[in-house]
Parts: sequence; structure tokens; C-alpha cells
Amino acid sequence: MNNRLRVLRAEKGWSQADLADKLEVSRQSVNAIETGKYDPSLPLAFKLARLFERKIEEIFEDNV
Amino acid sequence: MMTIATRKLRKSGLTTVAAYFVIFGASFYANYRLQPTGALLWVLATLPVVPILGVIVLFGRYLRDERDEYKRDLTMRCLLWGTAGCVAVTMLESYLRIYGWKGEFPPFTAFWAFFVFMMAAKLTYNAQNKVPTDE
Repeated sequence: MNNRLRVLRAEKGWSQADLADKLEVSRQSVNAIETGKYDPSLPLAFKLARLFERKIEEIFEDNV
Repeated sequence: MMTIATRKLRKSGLTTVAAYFVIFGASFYANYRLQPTGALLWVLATLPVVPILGVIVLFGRYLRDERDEYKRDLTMRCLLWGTAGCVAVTMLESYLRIYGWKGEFPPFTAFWAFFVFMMAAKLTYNAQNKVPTDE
């Protein structure tokens, strides 16, 4: 699944560590999501959506 | 960054492993001195297994407590690799015996297979997930 996390994070001026702190996850997790190695669960995707004030589909793009 | 659940697992894991060596030592010594048969033999052989099961329980607690779902996912994958190694060795030995092999693997081979497969998976995932310098 593709995502715009890196772009959105850059717009906010946050580092991966900043985002990890806000999400209460490790930086490793943020990096894995950004690079597409890991697709987050629905609760974490909603948390991201709330944090960036976007809809989930504005952050994540289904490859189908 | 080490999560609270990881810290808890490491601390309690080290205590349990230390307990294992003490119990194993005591059980081994008792077996050597008493040369038991019957129920006592079974009890002495069961004692060192208890802390090993304790480590599995600790992993279960870790998976329950870990809030970082990605780390949870990686731990599950490592445990599955370990289980695969353990099952593979056990099945291989069983098939060898069915096919007429008269030998047997050294003691704890399945346990070591679990440990080696799990650690190999952990090292591989760690290498794959090395995070670059933060931007």
C-alpha cells in the first residue's frame, strides 16, 4: 500500500522521531510504514488521520 | 528506543533464565546423587521445563502489553521462525526413525533449533529495518 506519510510529515516539519512520539510507537515503526514495509492497523491508521487532520484515504492509497 | 513492554520482557526474561540455570543445576545434581526411577525421575526432569515454559508465558505477556504493533508483528514473526525450526528438527528426526535410522539427535536439538531460528530471524529483521538518520 502506498502512502503520503513522508510528505505530510515534512509539511508539518516533524521528524520521524516526533511522529513516533505522537503516535506512541517506535521510530522503526514510522520508518517501516513510510517505506511501505508495513501497513498499519485500522486503529493506527485512524490515529494518523486524526493527527494530520486528513481522511485515511488521503494518506493511504490502495494499490488495487 | 526500547518500549516499556520490551524492558519488562528483558528484565523478567533474565530472571527466568537465571532461575532456569539454578533449577537445572539442582535437578541435575539431585539426579546424579539419587539416581531416581519412577515418579521422582519424572519430577526432576519436569523441573527445568517449568522456567522454559515461563519464558513462553513472558513472550505472551509481552505480546499483550506491547503497544507498538509493528514490534509486536516482528516478535510474532521471530517466534514463528523459531517454532518452524523446532518443528522441522522434530519431524526430521521422527521421519528418520520411521525410515529405519537407529540413531538419535543429541539432547536439546529441537530447543537449539528454536533458539537459532528465532535469533537468525531477529538479526535479519533488525538488519532489514535499520532506520536511517532522522530527517
